[in-house]
Amino acid sequence: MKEKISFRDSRLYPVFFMIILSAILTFILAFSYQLSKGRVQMYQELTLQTNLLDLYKGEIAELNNKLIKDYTPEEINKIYNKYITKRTLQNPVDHQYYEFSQNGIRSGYVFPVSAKGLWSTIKLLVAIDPDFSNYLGIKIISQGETPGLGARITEDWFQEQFTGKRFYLDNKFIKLQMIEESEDPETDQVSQITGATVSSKAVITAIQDELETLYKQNFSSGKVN
Amino acid sequence: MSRKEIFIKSAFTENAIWVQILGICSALAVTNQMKNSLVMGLGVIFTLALSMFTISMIRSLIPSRVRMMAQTFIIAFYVILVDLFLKAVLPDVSQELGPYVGLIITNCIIMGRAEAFAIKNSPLDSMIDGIGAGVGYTLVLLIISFIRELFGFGAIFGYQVLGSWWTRWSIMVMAPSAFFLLAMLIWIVEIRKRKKA
Repeated sequence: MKEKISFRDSRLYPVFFMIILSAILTFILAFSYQLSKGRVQMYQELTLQTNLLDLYKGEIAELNNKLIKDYTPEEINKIYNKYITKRTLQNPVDHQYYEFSQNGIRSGYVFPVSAKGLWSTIKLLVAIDPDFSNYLGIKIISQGETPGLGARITEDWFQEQFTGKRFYLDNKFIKLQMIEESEDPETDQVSQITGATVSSKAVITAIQDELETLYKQNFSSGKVN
Repeated sequence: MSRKEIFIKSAFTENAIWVQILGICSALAVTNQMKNSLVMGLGVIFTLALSMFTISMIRSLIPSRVRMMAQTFIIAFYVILVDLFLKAVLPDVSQELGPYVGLIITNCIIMGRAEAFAIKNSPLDSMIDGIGAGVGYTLVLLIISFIRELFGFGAIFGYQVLGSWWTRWSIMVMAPSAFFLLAMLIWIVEIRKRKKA
């Protein structure tokens, strides 16, 4: 006669155990994911809105008194809806961009662009005036460059130096030149970050070449009005 | 062994990094700033404490053939909870740490403590052991990031302590510096140990 083996020693027990364990843990995780989903999405949306408003802070009367950080999410949302409209491009399909208008008059566009840095894909927003002649500003939204070197592209002075630089003039695209951090930039020149040529170059590639492509594909022949 | 002894043994005398040389990857990756090191350390302490407790609770139920699978599963469960928590409550920190939180799952210290301790000890003792190992790990991370942030950025916890006269050491910001510092730390600990013996 075969000896009767208990369920705990049978071959089926490990399978049974793992199924039960998976079911319990996955259920709890799915539950906590559902709980946090709203908050996570809200933060992402809020970060995007804050970044967009930050690009235009000089022109928004409501933002003159204090820093964007000091506003509540509801206030930011209200100001955002008043000034910024989300739109999509035809080419590439569904590429989103943002239109900034004041009292019904369009005063600029913001495009999300990206380029490969040294370690990561650098994503940024670039704001430009309605006739694409000058940059209104740039904002790095995500990057994974070396802290202290490439990651310095997020420093204010680096981002602010693009404001007012020329993009398009007399049917020609302006090529921005990179100069050493210690030198003083002139027209069409920007300072690069010492020791982080690749990361600095990527930012310029993104706002210059990417934007040029988007412009040629969508705006040059009056496709978008 | 009393709970205090368990803690001291796990945190110092058998420190995960300087004695067992475990968890080196993350020690190299997140230690260029003290803030990141601290959050990473807290994440590991939390994961260790709760996963050791859970594993020990159900240790008699875990079939030995699939015990590592079950342990990894439980560890991953807590890590994902930490990740969700950071995303929903501390989005800035979550952004900073990027993929490293998820990588706590692969931190050998946690698996090591599960195999070496939790699978054969009581839940509370296992939790103390886990916290001890986590504290020991965090301590090493903070020592290394203190040196790296000070020399690499002239700052401590993001506050500039060295003036603009300080020439930043770029090497301290990159991963290789942690490699050298870690080696020196292990060296110092070994020398002290041998002197005592």
